Amino acid sequence: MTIHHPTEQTLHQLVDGDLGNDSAATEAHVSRCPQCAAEVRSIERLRRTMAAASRSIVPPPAVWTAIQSQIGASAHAPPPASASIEGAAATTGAPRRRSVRKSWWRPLIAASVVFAAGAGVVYLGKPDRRSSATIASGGPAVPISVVRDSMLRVAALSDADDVIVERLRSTIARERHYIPADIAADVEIQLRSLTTAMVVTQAALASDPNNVQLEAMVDRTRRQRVEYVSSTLALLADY
Amino acid sequence: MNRLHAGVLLVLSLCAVPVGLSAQTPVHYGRSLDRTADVRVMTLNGTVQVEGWDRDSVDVTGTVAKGVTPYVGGSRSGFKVATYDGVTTTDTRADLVVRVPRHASVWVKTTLASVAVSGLGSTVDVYTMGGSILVRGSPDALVAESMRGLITVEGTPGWVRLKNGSGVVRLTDLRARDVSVSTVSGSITGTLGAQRVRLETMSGAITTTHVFVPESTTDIDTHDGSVTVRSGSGVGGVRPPAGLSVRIYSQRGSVRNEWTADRTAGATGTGTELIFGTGAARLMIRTFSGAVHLVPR
Repeated sequence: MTIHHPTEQTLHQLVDGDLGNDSAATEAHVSRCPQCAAEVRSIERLRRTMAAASRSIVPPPAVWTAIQSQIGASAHAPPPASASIEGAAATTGAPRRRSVRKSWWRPLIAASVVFAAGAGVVYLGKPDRRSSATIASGGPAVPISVVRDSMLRVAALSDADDVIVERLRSTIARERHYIPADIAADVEIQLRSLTTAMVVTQAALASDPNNVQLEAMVDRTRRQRVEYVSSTLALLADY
Repeated sequence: MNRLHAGVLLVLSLCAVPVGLSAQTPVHYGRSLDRTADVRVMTLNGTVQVEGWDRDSVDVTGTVAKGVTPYVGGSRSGFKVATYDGVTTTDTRADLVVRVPRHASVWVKTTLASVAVSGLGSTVDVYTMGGSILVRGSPDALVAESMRGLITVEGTPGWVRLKNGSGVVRLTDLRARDVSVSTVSGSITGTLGAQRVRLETMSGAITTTHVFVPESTTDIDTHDGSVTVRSGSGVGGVRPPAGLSVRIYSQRGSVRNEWTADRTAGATGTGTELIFGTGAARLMIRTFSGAVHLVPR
């Protein structure tokens, strides 16, 4: 690896159009450097994901069926077996990581639905309702828009988190000749630890959705995971 | 045969000593510099020692690997030294001592090189993948990040931000206005007192002695790392429980309080909560499954 690649910050500035007169040299480099071109594409994908997160998307009907069945299941099922989730996450390797990611979606969606139910009670008390459509699950009716917004918000945040985690992994793979192997392995261990913590706290919150302390823990673990990835990416950036 | 081989090895090893020594090339650079100049140091592995001094100049001494021509350049307002020659390999060692004006802003980045900073009064930023970091003195602002190296801070910096992955963070009699430490699995240890303290880790153990400053806030968060807080004695410190409000929450871990006779109470959800004290200084400990232990002075 040579040190003449533009820094990650420079590539971000290039994508953002903030380089001004310096953009020509960077563009010329990117046009002939596959690594930097891939990095630019990754940044552009990240931007698209973040932009899409704020849009109003109407999910397909199958999603609502899944949500209603989830509500029914969470009303009758025992609390999530967080220990088994934790064990799965702790022992998972890179190929199995996707299954962990899918598994923590379930309590996450359940948590967002329950959260939305709580929010819906407040929402319904307001005179100016945006939508009369509701989901009932034996408790207070919840406006579909509230459920949808909550679910999309959680989904968008999780997707954005996963995007930067994947960026870190691809950076380590790309720079494997430069990054000492034990450090690369250590990063993977730390990532698994953070992911496990996030899974466990989210599962606990799903079973105890009114617990503000757990909510704070979920926020913290998610924030710390993102911060760790961001800091590590910065440390791995070219000098 | 064994004697012959031993003899050959002895001769080779004796020859290797002067070869090893000659693999390092001495370096020495110096130039005048503004008192508040920006200084950047970038190395791969080895050591970097940055010292503040009362002169308006920068001085770099040490050794670099043979064949490496360090980049050195800048103006009165900024100075940069980088010890690699275009190809980043981790076997390029440099051992540097960099003396800078005491109020210069210093930024150091290394791959595996350990960094020691002392005698600076402005801002210090140190980043390393695997090297250790030691900061002594009173920089106005300190940022130190490592992925796995030991970070040690001692003295009276103003504003402190420390991040580590699996490495330990050690606070040695640290007095500051604002301290924030974050690790993933690395432990956080030491003695500290600050107006605002935030310590957080996923699975590392937090074992600290606190001098609780009047009207200060201390927040400690872990996922499954244990938390042991000892009330320290110090000038101006608040002695628990007088002057201190304590709130501890553990979802699954145990809480052991030896500061007062209060025991866990006011449980919310399935967790355990302990609240006592009415003082203006505030201590909040929150953990998912770590054990919490308040130890008396």
